Amino acid sequence: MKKSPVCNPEPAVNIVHNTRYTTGLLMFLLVGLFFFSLMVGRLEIRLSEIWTFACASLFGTPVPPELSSKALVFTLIRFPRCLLAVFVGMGMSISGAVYQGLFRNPLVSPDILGVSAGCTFGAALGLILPGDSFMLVRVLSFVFGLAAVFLALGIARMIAVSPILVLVLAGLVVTSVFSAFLMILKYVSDPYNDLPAIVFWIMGSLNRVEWNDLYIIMPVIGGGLILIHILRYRLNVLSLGDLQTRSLGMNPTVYRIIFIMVSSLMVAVTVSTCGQVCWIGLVIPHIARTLVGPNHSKMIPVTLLIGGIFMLAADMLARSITAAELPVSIITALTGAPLFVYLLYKNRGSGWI
Amino acid sequence: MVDMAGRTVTVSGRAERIITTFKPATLSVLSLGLADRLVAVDTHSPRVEINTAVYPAMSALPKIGNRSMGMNLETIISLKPDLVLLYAQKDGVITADRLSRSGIPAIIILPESMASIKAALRIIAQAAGCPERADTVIQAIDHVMSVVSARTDGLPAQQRKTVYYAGPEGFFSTASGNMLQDEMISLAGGINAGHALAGFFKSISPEQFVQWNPDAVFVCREIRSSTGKYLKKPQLAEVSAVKGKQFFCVPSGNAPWDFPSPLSALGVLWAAKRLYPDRFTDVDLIKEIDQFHEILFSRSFTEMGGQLADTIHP
Repeated sequence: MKKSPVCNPEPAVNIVHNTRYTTGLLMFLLVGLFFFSLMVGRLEIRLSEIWTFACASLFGTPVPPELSSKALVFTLIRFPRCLLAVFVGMGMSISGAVYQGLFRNPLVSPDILGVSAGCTFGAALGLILPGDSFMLVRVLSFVFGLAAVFLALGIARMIAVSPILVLVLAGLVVTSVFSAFLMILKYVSDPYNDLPAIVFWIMGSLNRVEWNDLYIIMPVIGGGLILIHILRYRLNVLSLGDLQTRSLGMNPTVYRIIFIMVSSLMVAVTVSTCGQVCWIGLVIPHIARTLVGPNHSKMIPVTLLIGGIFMLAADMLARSITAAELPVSIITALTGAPLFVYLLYKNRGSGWI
Repeated sequence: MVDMAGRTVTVSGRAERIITTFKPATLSVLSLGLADRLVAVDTHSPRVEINTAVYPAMSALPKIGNRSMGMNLETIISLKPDLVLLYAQKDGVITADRLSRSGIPAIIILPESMASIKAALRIIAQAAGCPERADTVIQAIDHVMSVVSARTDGLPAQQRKTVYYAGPEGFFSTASGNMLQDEMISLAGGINAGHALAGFFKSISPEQFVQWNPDAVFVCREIRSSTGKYLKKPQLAEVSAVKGKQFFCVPSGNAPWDFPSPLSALGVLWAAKRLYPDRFTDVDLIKEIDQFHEILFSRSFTEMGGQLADTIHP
């Protein structure tokens, strides 16, 4: 938890007013940006054409032959990609928010705790193992992602001094261990077949997405978001600490495990679909907190919306600036990192870290 | 003598103990008929089938590491080579200077284009004391190139086909305008779809692929097995190369002709034949390939069990 209600200087009424206003504005922005990004790309697609394609897919009206190539690009490449960007952005930023609330530590996120590194290693292992099972890659990614969180938690608990700092350090340790494992995999793998596949996978991009991926991503991330949204008040309770949680009649261990499992699952499906996307999980919850305060019941929906907007915008730039595709992590890191520094500066001395 | 990084190196004039540190260097040495002078190679070279077919003893030679994971300098020095062929990227130049300081002649070669492939052959042959051998190989290359240019030079601009080349990092990773693959496509009379890109292999979006609308797709053999599915993807169905099923894997089964080596000349011939079959009806591809291999390796392609392996099944 960043600020307890006691040290929160803003009056409650103001925040309630702000929250409604902010949430509404963000929702409007997200929808607007979504439609805008459907039109932007290497192939120019106009709003009227989108209407034609939408009618064609919904009611089966015929598409003029000169538009058939565009229709395929729109329905099978661009639309699923924009949808994926929104889901990935929401999933990553919410898992960041959950981790930060859960561990009462503003400096953690799936990348910092080693979850992303664990998921990446699992995915690479799945690629190397014989058999061409797509599911294996995802399952291993999830298993090693979870292993990474629990390893980081275990190390931090074992050391048990200065929990905020130690958890970050433990995450650093876990990240480098899994990076080393990944390097071993790359070293022993066949340079002609496995290695290019792993490198391609890790580089991460949303450009491979197809509807098949979305059939997995949408229920997993969508379900996770709904569950966390419903349980978001419990995060407030958990962030008070175990003793208070118990005295309020809630079993902290059960909820903690639920939250960790759900958010790690979201990270795992993201990593196994589009590789590592940096910074979103760390920065977006902080932006949300700056806007509407630390109360999870308000902050979770705002995080969700900003995450979707941010990722959608980043991917839109990545796929349309040049003929070659920019890795989306370049954009998220280059915008996320300075933003984080700014937030650190702005919130200095407010008990934020 | 001066190497391809502009370094001046003193060589004995007849190198007898040669070490190669990357695949194009090894293949160049073999095509000059200098296989039995090799005392060590990089770890990747013996995995190229043609290398072990030409020189089976290569698998048993000491390995000095490789370009991507680093080399073992002590192994190199302990083998007392009188010529080490190094790459220009990464730590190549630094290593060459260190070796030269310890009295071991080290030469940088940079085969990245048809011209520099020939230049590399000349430099190696000179250091090994057999410059006439380079002339023979270069003549063979020029012969193949003249077979191609005689049939594609007159192609009007609107008949030139656009080719999309997919590199080893995946189907949507393509060769930029300053890579060998771009030059090979244009020598074969085609136009590289990614010609305007700069740098190394570049990743593109599927949208960009549709927009380029290539007439043919060439893929490198690393991704051959995973390419067939793109022929069936509905989102690419309107692309000319998909409609016409013009997907090919760059040969061959025993050496990648789309990467720098004297064999790249055969890659150009093959590409031209696949792009403009009508203009090459009089050219027997396998016969030309066999002749070329005979000159370079004293054994024909067919004798070595070579196969084009260029089809892609959906």
